[in-house]
Amino acid sequence: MDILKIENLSKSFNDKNVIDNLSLIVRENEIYGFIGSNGSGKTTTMNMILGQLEPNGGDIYVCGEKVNFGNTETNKYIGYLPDVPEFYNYMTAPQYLRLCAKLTDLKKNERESRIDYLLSIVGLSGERSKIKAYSRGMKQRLGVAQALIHQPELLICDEPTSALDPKGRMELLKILKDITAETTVIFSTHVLTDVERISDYAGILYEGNIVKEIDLSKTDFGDKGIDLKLDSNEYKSLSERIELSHLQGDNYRAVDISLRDLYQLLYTLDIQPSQLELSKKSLEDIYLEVTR
Amino acid sequence: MNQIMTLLNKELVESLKTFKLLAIIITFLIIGVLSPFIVLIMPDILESAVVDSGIEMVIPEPTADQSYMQFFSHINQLGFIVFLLLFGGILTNEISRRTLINLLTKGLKRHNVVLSKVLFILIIWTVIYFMSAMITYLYTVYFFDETVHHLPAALSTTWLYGIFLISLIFLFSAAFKNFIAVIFSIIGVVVVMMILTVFPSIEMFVPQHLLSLNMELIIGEKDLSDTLTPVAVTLSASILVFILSIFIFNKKTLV
Amino acid sequence: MLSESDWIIFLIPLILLQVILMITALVLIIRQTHFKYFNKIIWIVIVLLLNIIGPVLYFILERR
Repeated sequence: MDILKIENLSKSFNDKNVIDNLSLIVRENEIYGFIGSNGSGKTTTMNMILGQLEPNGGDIYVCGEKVNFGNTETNKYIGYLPDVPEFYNYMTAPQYLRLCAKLTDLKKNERESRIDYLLSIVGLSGERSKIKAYSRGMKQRLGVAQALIHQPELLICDEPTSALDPKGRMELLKILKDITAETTVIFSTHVLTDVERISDYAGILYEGNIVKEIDLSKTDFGDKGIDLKLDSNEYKSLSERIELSHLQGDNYRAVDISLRDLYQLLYTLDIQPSQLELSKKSLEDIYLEVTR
Repeated sequence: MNQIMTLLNKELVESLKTFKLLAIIITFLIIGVLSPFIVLIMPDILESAVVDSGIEMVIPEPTADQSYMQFFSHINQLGFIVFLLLFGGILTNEISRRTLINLLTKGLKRHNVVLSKVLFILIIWTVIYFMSAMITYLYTVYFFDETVHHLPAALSTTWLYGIFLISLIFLFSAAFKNFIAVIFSIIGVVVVMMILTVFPSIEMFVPQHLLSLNMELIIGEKDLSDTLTPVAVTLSASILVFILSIFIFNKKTLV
Repeated sequence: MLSESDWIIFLIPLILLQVILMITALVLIIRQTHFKYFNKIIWIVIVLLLNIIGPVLYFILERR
């Protein structure tokens, strides 16, 4: 089932089109990485999915129901982790989660067990201090717990790792990866390694639209070229036959030639490169390609 | 209903933990005690002033009327200001600190946010106002033998005026994003109302009129029937403003 | 004319209430390390000098 369907969404601020005719589908139990530079419209899109910002055009469906701006029923399906989650500082984590639980449809007898479970998966069990004293990483983890309190179908995280140190970042990504059994996750980021580490799909948002969708279960994004390590004589003779781009030191890259043809050529010219490697495209290469 | 009860409880806990409830209760208790006290010590102060200056004059005996007059002027000058300072930010604080985002994005209804805060603040205002009035009343009946006219009605007019001010808190909180804008907008409305009460023809239709009406009721210059128009106007204005606030807040961009 | 006992039934609650409000604010100010506005000394002076309004300002500006 399509958990999230966005059709021809548009939003402009002061005549500037931030989101321009964007369409997107996210299926059940995926982790969808929403990639874009700062200001590319990731947060704007999320706020429209949450019904907190009014689109200029287009429709959004969550679990098949249409999102209405203001008071939207669809929010009961959604858990949201803002980029900087804000809490009531005078409460403790269990008190805050209890407040959240009471505001949702979660059954009364399930509340305490759900709170205990969530605190344990985000590593805040037994944490007795008030939220006022929490570090950024702890707030982010409590943010995940509050977003999941009502067992949402869809978890939306806005730049969940951007303010965290490497350790906190790894912990949070692991939490997101672990919860896909029970929910679908969309998270925005400008850190490509985060997406590579946990996502199933990635969409690259550029100039208000998804310019490229990538299936990360296929690890092969295509070839970039063949990298060779050549001495100056070898380079001289080979470069007369094919185009070589210089990488660094003695390393060169042959593009637009198949491995078979290159082998043949090397054999003919009697060149034995000290190193030969097929260079694969990374997510970063794709990103740079489509956002050029 | 469930959401409202939960939020009502949250507001109560919050006002306790931030000491706002303590501060407002103490302020209104002080107003209750201070009002009759000032009336009773006034002759002593006047006498010492008269003795020092050597002028012969008759010092008027304090009356029960004056006790309530002091009460109303303290509520107007100190009570409303402290109340607006402590509770004027009840909605804007959450908007500017973005604490509502987590709750709204999991299905909390926006109108329930406003309703629970309205309900909470109305309860607080009613309790502290009548508590304060009761204290002034008890001191007054203890120290003065004479009775005053229309006391419950006179006390209720100022209470109703307070409800009108509270409705303005919500209107301007829904319209603007910060506390300072809310406070200055309310001050603006009060100033406009004060100017309007200068014209006798429209005076009756301005909520501000309730604040002069209360003393006229106490001293028996006005009768209960005279309160009908201003009470009806203020009450309907407040209800309209509350409803309008909910409509505006429902369509407010909160990000 | 008020008798001495009359004075007491006014003054005791008035003083007690002001002291409770002031002490509460002072204890919180002394225990607080970071201030959004001003600093510890200025807040103590404000609370001591301004009856009611001093503690109220402290509560709304620093403890919201």
